[in-house]
Amino acid sequence: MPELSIVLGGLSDAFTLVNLLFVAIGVAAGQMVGAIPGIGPIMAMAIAIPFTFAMDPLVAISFLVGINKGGLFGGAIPAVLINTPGTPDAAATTLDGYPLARSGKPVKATRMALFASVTGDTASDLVLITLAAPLAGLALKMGPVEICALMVFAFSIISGLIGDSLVKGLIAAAAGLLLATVGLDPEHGTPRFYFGYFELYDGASLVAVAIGMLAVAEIFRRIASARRAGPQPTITLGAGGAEQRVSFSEYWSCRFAMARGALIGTVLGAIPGIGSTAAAYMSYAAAKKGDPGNGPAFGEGNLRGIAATESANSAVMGANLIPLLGIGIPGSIGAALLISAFNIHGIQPGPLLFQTQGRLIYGLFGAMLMANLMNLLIGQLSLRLWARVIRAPESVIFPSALLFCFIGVYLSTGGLFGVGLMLVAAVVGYAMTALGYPVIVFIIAFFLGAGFESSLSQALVILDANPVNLLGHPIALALLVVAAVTVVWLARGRNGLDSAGSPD
Amino acid sequence: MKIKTLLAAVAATCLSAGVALADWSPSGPVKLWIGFGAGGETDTLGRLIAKEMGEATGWNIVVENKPGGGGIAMFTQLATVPADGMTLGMGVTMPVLVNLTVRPDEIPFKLASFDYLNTVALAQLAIVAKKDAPFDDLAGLVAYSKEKGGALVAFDAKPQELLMNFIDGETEAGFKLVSTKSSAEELQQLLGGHVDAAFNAGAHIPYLESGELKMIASANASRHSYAPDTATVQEQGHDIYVDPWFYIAAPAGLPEEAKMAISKAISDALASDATKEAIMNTMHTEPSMAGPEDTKMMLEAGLKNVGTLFGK
Amino acid sequence: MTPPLLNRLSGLAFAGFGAALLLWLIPAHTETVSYGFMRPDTLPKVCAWALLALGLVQAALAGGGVAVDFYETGIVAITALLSAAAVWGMGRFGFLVTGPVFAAVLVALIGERRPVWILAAVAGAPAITWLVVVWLLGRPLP
Repeated sequence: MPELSIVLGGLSDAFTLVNLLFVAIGVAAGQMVGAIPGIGPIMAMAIAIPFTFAMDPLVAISFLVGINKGGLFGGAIPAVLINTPGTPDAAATTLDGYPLARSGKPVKATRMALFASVTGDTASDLVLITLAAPLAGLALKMGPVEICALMVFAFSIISGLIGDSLVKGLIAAAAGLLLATVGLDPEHGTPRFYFGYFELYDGASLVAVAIGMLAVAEIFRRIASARRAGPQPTITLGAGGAEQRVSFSEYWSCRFAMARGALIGTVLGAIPGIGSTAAAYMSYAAAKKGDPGNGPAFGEGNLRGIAATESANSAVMGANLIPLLGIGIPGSIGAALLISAFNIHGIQPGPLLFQTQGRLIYGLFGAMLMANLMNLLIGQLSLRLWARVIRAPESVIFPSALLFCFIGVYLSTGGLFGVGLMLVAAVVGYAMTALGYPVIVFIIAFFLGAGFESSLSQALVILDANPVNLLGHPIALALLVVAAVTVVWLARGRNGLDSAGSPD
Repeated sequence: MKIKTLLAAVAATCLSAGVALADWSPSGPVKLWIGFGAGGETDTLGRLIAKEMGEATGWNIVVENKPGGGGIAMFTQLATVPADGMTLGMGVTMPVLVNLTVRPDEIPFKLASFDYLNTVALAQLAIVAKKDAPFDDLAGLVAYSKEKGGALVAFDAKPQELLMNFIDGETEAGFKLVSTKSSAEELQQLLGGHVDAAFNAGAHIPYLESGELKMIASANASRHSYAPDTATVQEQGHDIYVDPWFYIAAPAGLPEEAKMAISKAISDALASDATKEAIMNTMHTEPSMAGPEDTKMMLEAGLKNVGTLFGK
Repeated sequence: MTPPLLNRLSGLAFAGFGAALLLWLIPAHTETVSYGFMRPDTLPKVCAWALLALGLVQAALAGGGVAVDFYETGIVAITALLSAAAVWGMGRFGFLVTGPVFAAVLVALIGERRPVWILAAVAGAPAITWLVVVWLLGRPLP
């Protein structure tokens, strides 16, 4: 443990008025960009970095961390209110959040998302603060062979989301994996399936495909239903006041879902390469499987469904910093951005970070906890604002939301090509849903595909393509066994899991 | 030092250019396209330069990310916009030169499709290994590989793979090459003991200082400023090197005065203490501003060298 | 069309796609590499065979639910075409012209008649977009 004076010095640096102000601005900005489909905290951070150059290092990093944390909750807002996730990792939040909003409890659902997000985030932050160095050492033991096995395990959660037809689910998975092979191949770097569009060299944009299939397809459907039914208010608030609150006993009833989510998110966040979207779905599948069944069914507005996904995807963020601060290796794009922010202030993340910059790191920890508190406070205010916005009729909300998707994807992919790709994804997503092919399975296979192919290629080189050599990798073997068990465990109860993948 | 002569040459160009051509100025916001997504080294670097250029000249410089194929998508678009100095592109030489060498028919531009304004920096590419590895140089690595039946070496770009294949061809070392996506991934595999050696372009330096890693060779044509005692691959007897330059270009046919004015603005931005410090911190190398002529020559020489790498 | 028929047709479509990949798309759009365990076409071929086989199974068994609503599909198709036109328009005329027009067409498609709400969608949403992107984020719009 470092000296107490360094810890206290760092914390007192964190709790200054200037720092507080910038964390608050960061969180507010993060919640806003998170709520706009297509623009996410990653992009906001990238834009903000040059402006942090003039700031004090701690203020700069705290500001960026604030944006990142605000975005964790921001993505859930439109996911709950209009069934269109603001960031890909909030996709699983729509599953129970939106049904709850439809039944007249939009504020309650959003508030649960907020509480779960802050809970999961705080849990993983505490793990980071107390255990960063030893955990980072453990994460290093995860080589390509182990990561490949972990990918197989991540794929196994798909079996819990496959819906009513196994064949259709597998077709969706194969198609998603196929889309992931667009772009440079991981072993030889040759371009594949780019049809003369150099924008596809690095693969089909994750943001464009996810926003297209999940958000735009839903907006298209809602425009059609609005035309049929005539313009209605987007959300009808049921009984106000107490009905929109989350009581402590309700929060407490979600404790297992949130704890599981925080654990899944922390583990996957500490190991580079899997990402928060998969963590959210994994946590959702686990919560559904482990639910005592004394509330509404999953997929029909169960608070535990929201709690599970939001605690998991938020926990990933804190845990992403474990390899970053522990050994100097970023676990995600957000963490890589923090590295470049550290770098331009002349700070080298690496093995010596705790020794050379102890005070700054403890300042950062203080700022992270403060940002969680800010997220909670500002979130309470902003969900009131969004609930008001969303009372506008569908004829205003959906055309505006579509315009935001256009611009968000335009900005994050750097051109109109990405917007075109988003529209194609939307049409394909709509057709798949209508014909009963689970879009969620397609998306997860697509998200995991690139990392899977790359780690498989590395693992084959290391193992000389000889399965016997796997015996030298006990962690990988254990993960493969867990994956097989998970498939059986989730698939056995598949009849109870229909709603996740079937069209609504 | 090579860099110093370069600097002197640049300073001279800047002075003469500054007197004669200070009167060009853009008619609106100047777009600086980055051939990579948000968050990478190129992105950070480009945004810093844009900010510094904007402050020094009063021009409004807008940075846009155009990711795809290591800059190919961006340069493809850049070749089609008007040559009025209102659109610039920043990229790295290697992916562009490799694609121009390997699949020239599919790439819709040539070196001559652009006017080259300036270099930004040279990435210092090293081959590193863990401190306790039983070898200290390339010859040792080759011997170790033969003994072990194939040493695992991680790389993150095609030219690095070719360089190792070249050495492999000369020595029959039997390297097993592991393809990765980034410096961070290479570092992780190396530190975790999953590979025996790896390429790295800067992220390894703190680990050299902490003593966890050691440097086997410089893969550039010259030794590295932070490790003057480590010999280059060429010096260790294999006539091959990889020099990835960051540079800024514009569509060909730029008016001479615009070319000089923008090039000078880039040089000035790179010379400012803030940018210099940021480049030192992110890239572990000094900024270099070779000016239009030398940048063009550097790319032409680079294309020839990549041709040798591919045996063409 | 009945659900079983749609299930058979969608299965055949995926099987046909798998066949097209194997016969034409994969050979034409991947490069041939002579070394390594994972070739550029390894994983695509696995996926294509899976699509071909599973598509045929789906066509034979015709299982699973289908939720096609032809009225809805019609409106979605129109909206998608309008969106494609809007992408073209943004490239040609820019966001500030195309955005409001696109919003106006969508509002008309839904059938909104109240002037305040029409104004909110046609002027308000593009204005907010402009404020956020250009003014706050400092990014250019198309």
